[in-house]
Amino acid sequence: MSESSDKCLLLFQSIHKVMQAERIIVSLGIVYQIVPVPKEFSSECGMCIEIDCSDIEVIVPEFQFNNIFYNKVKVDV
Amino acid sequence: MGNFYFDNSATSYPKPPEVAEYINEYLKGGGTYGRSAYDRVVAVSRVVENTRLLLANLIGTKHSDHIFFTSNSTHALNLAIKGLSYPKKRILISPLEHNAVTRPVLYLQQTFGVEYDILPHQSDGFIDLDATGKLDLKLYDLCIVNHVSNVNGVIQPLAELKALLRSVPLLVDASQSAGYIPIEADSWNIDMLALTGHKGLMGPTGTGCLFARNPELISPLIHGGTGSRSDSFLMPDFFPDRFEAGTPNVLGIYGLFGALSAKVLPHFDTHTFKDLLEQIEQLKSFKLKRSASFNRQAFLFSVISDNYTPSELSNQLFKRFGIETRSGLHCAPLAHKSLGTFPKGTVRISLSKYHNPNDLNYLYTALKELDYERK
Ligand SMILES: Cc1ncc(COP(=O)(O)O)c(C=O)c1O
Repeated sequence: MSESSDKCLLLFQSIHKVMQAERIIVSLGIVYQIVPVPKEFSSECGMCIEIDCSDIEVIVPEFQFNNIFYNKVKVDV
Repeated sequence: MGNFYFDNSATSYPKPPEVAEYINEYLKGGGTYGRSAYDRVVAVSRVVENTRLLLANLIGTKHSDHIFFTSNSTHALNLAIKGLSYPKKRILISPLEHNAVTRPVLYLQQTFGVEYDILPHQSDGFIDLDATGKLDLKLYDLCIVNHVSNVNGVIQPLAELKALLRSVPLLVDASQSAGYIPIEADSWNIDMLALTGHKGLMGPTGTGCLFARNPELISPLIHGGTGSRSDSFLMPDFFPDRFEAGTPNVLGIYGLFGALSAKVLPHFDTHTFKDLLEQIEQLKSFKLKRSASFNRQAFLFSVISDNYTPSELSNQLFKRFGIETRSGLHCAPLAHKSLGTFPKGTVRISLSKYHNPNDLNYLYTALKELDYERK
């Protein structure tokens, strides 16, 4: 993971899904951070998960298997 | 000194030490559930969601997002009973229901004209499956069953009943069973289940949940903020948020998490319990109200005495022996009518996993002493 790697935000409908997603991300050993949802997405629940965009492909099958739906946005730094 | 608290069906005591530890942790750490993303909130949200998972595991369902926190099983039962619709205007209930079911059911009758029938049963209230199979079950919108009677401890055959009911939804009141006997909501195909955190689960009061396999069939009982979809004036259409308006009882949920993590095993075995029942049965002035079959008996039962009214007996047990029990109707007049103990009721004796064989023996000795004094 390089410092310059792009960051992506994963947005979920509910805290239930954020926490379910967190458990999966932890079990995969992926580095992540729980951060506030940017205000342009205020309709989602209060927190979302930030990861390196390059980790998305590892996560997607696990999320699909566990019926976790999410929106992905790239963070402009 | 022994543990002479035999009113665990009202609320369990003592609680595992983890309950106070987690409550204390929350009081020190604070924070709400969701709505923001600072560390305090994330920590609380983790505990709340882990508790939801533990509850899902406890009742044997994979659908943890279909577990909705409530303040107790009364709240959970009201959510289900008042939130469903009744096109056929007819429901079935078991003969051993608590007022947490019968009062909402009477509300449905008075408000919407929904009638109820009582499931065919044996003299101990155990559902007669053969007779149930002969009913025209297509007539019913819902069937409600108290898994374990809070009066005589009868365990009802949920899987077999649901196999007969087929598409008729089954709502289970697991207030007295959760924490004491296994529940397999998915493999038994249970549609809805209500439980409370402060009895067999040994958590704090003010906690409980409803599980619903098809929650889209239920309207929310309480409307308000969920911290999600805040731009909408309507309740979210996803779960669990649809049924969890308002700040949850985080303090209580922490305590419940402690209770569920504690994994307390019974300090007495079923043989000791069976011996106790058999010994009490030998006492001539007492009559036991319990399941006709020990295989269908949970760790609670009732007694009636030839010498004392239920309240006198309860009083004697407490004043002379320090034994705490509950006398009367136990909020279950229908159950007492079905068992022939209405209106005086019984004295209920309900065990904790923390009771040891000496405690059970002490209880027996006290009853024996009262038996000798018979008129
Ligand atoms: C069978 C049954 N149902 C429902 C309840 C209500 O439980 P709570 O008061 O925790 O809502 C009780 C407890 O009194 C009960 O024994």
